Amino acid sequence: MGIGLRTGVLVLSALACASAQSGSELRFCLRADPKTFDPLLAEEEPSDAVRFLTGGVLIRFNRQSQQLEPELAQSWTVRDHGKRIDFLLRRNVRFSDGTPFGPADVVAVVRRIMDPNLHSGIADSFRSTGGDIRAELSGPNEVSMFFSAPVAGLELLFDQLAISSSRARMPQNAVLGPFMLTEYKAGQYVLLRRNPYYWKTDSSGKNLPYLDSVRLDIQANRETELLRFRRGELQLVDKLEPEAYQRLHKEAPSTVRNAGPSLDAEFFWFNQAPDAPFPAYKRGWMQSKLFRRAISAAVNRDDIIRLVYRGYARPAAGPASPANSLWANSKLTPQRYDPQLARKLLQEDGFRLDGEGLRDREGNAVEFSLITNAGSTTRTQIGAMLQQDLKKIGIRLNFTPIEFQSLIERITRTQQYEACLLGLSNTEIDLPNSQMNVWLSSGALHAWNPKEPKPATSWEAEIDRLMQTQHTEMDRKARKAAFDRVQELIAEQAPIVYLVHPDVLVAVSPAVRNAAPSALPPHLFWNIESLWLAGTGQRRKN
Amino acid sequence: MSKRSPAWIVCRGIGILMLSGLAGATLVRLAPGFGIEEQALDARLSAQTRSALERRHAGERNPLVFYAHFLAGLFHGDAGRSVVFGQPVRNLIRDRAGTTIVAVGAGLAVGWCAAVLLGLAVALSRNATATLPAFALSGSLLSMPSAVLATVCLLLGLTPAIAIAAVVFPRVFPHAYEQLRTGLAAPHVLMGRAGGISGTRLLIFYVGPSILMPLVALAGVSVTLAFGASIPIEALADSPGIGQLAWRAALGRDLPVLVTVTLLLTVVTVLANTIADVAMARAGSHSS
Amino acid sequence: MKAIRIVAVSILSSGAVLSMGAGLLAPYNYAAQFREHANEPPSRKFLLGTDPLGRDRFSRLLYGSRVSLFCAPVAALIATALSAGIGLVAGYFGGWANEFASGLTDLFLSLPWLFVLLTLRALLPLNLSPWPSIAATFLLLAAVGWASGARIVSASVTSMRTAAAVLQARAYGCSNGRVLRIHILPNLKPVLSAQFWILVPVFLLTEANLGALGLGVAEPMPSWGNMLAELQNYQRVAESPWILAPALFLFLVVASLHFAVSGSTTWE
Repeated sequence: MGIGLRTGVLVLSALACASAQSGSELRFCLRADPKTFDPLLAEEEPSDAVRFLTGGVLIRFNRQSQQLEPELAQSWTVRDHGKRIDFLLRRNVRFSDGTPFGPADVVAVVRRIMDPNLHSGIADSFRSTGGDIRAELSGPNEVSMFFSAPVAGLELLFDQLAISSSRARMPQNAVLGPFMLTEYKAGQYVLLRRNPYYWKTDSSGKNLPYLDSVRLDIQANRETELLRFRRGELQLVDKLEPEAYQRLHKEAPSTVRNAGPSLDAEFFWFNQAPDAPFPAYKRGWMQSKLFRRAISAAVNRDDIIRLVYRGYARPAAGPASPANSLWANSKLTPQRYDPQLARKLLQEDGFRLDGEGLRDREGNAVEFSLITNAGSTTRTQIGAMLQQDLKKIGIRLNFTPIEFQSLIERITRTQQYEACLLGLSNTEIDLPNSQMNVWLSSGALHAWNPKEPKPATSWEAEIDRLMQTQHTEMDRKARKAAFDRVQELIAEQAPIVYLVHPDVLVAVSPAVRNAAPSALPPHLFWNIESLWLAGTGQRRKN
Repeated sequence: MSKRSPAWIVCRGIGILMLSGLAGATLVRLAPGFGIEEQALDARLSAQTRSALERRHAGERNPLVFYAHFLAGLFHGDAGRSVVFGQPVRNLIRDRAGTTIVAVGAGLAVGWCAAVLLGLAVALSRNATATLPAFALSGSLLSMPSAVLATVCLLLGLTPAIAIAAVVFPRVFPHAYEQLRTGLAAPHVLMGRAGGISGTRLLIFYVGPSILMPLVALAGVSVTLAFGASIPIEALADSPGIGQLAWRAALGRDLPVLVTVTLLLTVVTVLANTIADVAMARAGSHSS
Repeated sequence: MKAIRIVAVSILSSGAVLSMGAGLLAPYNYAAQFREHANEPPSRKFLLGTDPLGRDRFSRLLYGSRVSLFCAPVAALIATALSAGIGLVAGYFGGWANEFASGLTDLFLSLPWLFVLLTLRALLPLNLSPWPSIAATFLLLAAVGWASGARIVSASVTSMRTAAAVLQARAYGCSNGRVLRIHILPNLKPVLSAQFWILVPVFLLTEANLGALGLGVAEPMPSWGNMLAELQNYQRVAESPWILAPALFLFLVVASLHFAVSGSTTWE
């Protein structure tokens, strides 16, 4: 029975591959122009999308199975407690310009990463151990990399490291991915054509990708994007607004998909920086665990999910979304809406109700401001709801959306704010390692009190210790245990009040075949080489 | 150098240009969020990379020094490199200028024609109730956010030029109507009509000269208005013009782009208003 | 015409009464959220339905009129007055006054004032109550919004300077002030009223656009401008046409303003 089933699946997939019509152009949108086509400098979403579509990597993290898979590296071995990794590279692979790929190209990329003048998140991820990385040819198709200190989750880093040719003048001129950059018109589109030398084939031996080209139109206006999707001008729409999703779901249910909770989170935090320019009595509130937990209990997450996200979100318990099966702490539960508990905690902390308003021990009316980035309907609505929720427990919340650059300046430099509502767009699977700067008390993005010279509290010291442990621990279970404990401490102390994990809502044209939207980014084109368009009537000769 | 000599006009224009560029650079520099990059929120960045990001803007911190370097580069055709787009500003402007010029030009032409023709029709009707639908149209267009105008144009498959025309029309129509109404009611026009002069002759030779100056002044101003309107309209319609460039540059505090766009806008404004001033001066000297 | 003007003034007066009496007339507080009744159509309980957070649209419309009916016209008045003052001086005296004024106008029209508004927001405390912030925003809009009007006024005054009535007055020995006050300013009424009429909705909508940058009216306080921002979502408009109510009210006010302030046809 088992063999028959497996044979059946193989036959079916072979048939599907055989019937996969090659050719035609897939179109979807980028929200802004890519800032760079250099894969090592790709930081923001548009550049990252181009990098994913054109870049070949040694190891790929499969967004669906959440397993590591060999790509340009046929196999790899981690040795020396995570301080060394050996790659056996695929043979007979060529760059898009026809030149051969070899270990020298990998060595060249590693040398570039180690260039202190290269300032990028990708390079910094590799350099996070603090020491040098060395790459050496260890055979005709073998390369070894040496790290000065053990790197936990080492293999995952290679999912973002696109290998470019050591001979090409510019990295985007010779690529190893399924597509290559052909044309770019600023403000209009990026055109990628299939890489004629792409090494992958499908199970029937047909060269991938199936598509001839991918056109990424640059479109910031969401309404326009949806209009074009409805007209059939676009085939994919990522990150639909909940309202738009509901509407499309009514009009054409087959075009929308809910890929489940995303890795993203919406949250707010209190500014606990000692030199923040607001009165000391307010800082006293922010620094009180009971106060923070009371606020968390006063927030009605279910209403936020129902009204703002139209039901397409999950209440958040901590930084790791349920979509991140590797790191989510299943023991944590989101804080329930409990204004009684909130009042009780505030009372314990010395607050008292004076008429309709809350006052602290010294008689100060409890009032503070919450900033967020202006122009976001979602956050504006969440802010308005938080105002009402906190009003019920006597707290006056001044909700102040401000322009994004000004907001970044306040939260990273001047500390001129009291509380901040923001979201995290998480693209990294290795959550703990990618967020060292957030959880370490000395981190620049340690939201509530950045760049502490030493941990201000014992629980922050504990988090520091746990984060350093998981960073160098090779045993996955031990890493998980350490980060689980970090998440528990965050839930207990509530320096950050997590609200929701929004769902991944996407639209896919029925013409697109093999689409399998993933909760992990890139949601729609993680399997770009397997996508094809039905009804194109054009079969590419192999 | 007399105040109306070409040399004076050129010197004055250059002076305003220099001043506006410096003022623009200073305004951008002093606004909050300058020198901040969205990349700063990337948790992967090391302390060294963060410092390097901050140093990237070191040359822009002193607006005077930046502006001096910028002007020096501009004389060689180099307007610097965009922080937001990662490309030479010169290329960005070159690639986008055509789109904006066409949209603004068409928008101005359509807006003005509609405004003047409707103003004339309503003024000539001498019927108070005839003003109702005209001002209803003008009022409704004034009451519409430019985002909505841009969206409506998109839905109807119209170019952004129509949205710009919809912005220009209600700002020109009331002035055009008031000038025409006042001009048609002027004593010398009434006498001319009583004397049997034809309507066309009255309009061109009697009404025209008296209303020419304010309308020419309005024409000069409306050019700047149209360029200003192109910014939100192009941003919303995703039309790849200079307006969209300016909007994204403003959000990203892209100083080289913003100063360049400010200078371009100043050139357009000074040119349009200077042409208007010269035309008015000539009209004034002819009539006297 | 008189009848139209009476109707226009009545509409404006009613609007003023409604907005001043919003506290008494509105069935609910503008911030009250009836979360079980979100996105509902008009009913007896909610005359214009509710918004996505369950807030009564009719109450928000009434309270929003306070910002829209007072702040925008006051700012437009200030800007028009500045245009009049600068344009009068430039157009009447000509020479260096005109050169300076026209240069200043060109400068004001070209500069990116957005950054001044952002700086203003940065200088204001975060815990400020909404009215000072709104007032500061509109005052700044007035301070930079005079430029376009000034050129038109200046051109009008330049053409009036050589009119027979003015020349006669000067020949009789009237002072410049008297000439400006008695002979020129009244004849600027059509230009100034047109400019005022244009600026009211422009400032109102600019306030709404500034909301996307964190300026203008902050939550939960409503304004017609921030209620109009919903109209960008054309599908929502098609499904819930009652959300056009702020646009309709704004249109009525703008149209009424025109007919209420439009000048006479006599030459003074």
